[in-house]
Amino acid sequence: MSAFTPRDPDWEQRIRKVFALQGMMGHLGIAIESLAPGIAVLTAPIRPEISQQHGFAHAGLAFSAGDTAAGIAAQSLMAPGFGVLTIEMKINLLAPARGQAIRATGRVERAGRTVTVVRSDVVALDQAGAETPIATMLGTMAVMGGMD
Amino acid sequence: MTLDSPAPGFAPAPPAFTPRDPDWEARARALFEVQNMMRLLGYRLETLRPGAADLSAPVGEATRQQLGAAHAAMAFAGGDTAAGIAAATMLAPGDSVVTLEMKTNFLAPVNGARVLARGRVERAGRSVVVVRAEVDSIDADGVATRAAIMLGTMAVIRPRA
Repeated sequence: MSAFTPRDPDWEQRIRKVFALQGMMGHLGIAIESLAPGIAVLTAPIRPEISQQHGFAHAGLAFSAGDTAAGIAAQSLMAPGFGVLTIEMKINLLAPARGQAIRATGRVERAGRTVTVVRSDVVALDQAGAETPIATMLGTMAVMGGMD
Repeated sequence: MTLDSPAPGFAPAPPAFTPRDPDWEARARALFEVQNMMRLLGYRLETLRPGAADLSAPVGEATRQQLGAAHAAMAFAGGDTAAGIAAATMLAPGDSVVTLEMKTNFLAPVNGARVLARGRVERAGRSVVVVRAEVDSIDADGVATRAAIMLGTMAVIRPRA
């Protein structure tokens, strides 16, 4: 259950539109699993094309899914005409991304007028669906006007 | 001001790195070649020297975000990998390296035609390597705009004796 109240009644439709405009998401196979005000859950398969030298998913996949989940979570609380851009993001990589897929859960920590503080937690999922935390992220999003 | 030219009389000269492995260059190139993610994003290894690696990629439809610039993950993946390859140039034979943590400040969108990611070793320790990276957006005239700065920690993975 989300503690946030969206400022835009069409928040979910807007988010799905913003997500569809991100060519990078399709390129990496990242999809929306669920949305709530201030929370976004994304998933992506671990495919050979995104592997690094040890055969695990590259850190860029966790970053991409985590950053976008956090951005969408922030976007869900924006008034009409406002959008967000990541201005800084710290990622701690906790374990190799191995298994079937990853799941990134982005959450708003604080939605301010000019700055939104976000976090993301990324887990790897094995064949049985068991979760292993692989990354934790904390970041800052700038609120931008004029973004219809 | 670039990564390799500290302000005269202000910052120390960049450290000169002496590789621990005579095969450092071939190993670092091989490490880049096995990064499938780099191929997917279009990155190439441009230059390599001890403690330094530069990568670049074209900015295309497949890697854009909702406003038409390259997605932040394009900058992150390039900068992180450039830093990782730079770290790999300083490893002892048999060792490998993985990213433990990385902080990225995004300064401007990558609106240009290409992205240039430069990774540098700050300190190459026995078990930890401190790295940084700078990512520039390069426009059609070759003018660079700093898009991201990154600072991170890599763990040295040593095979058990």
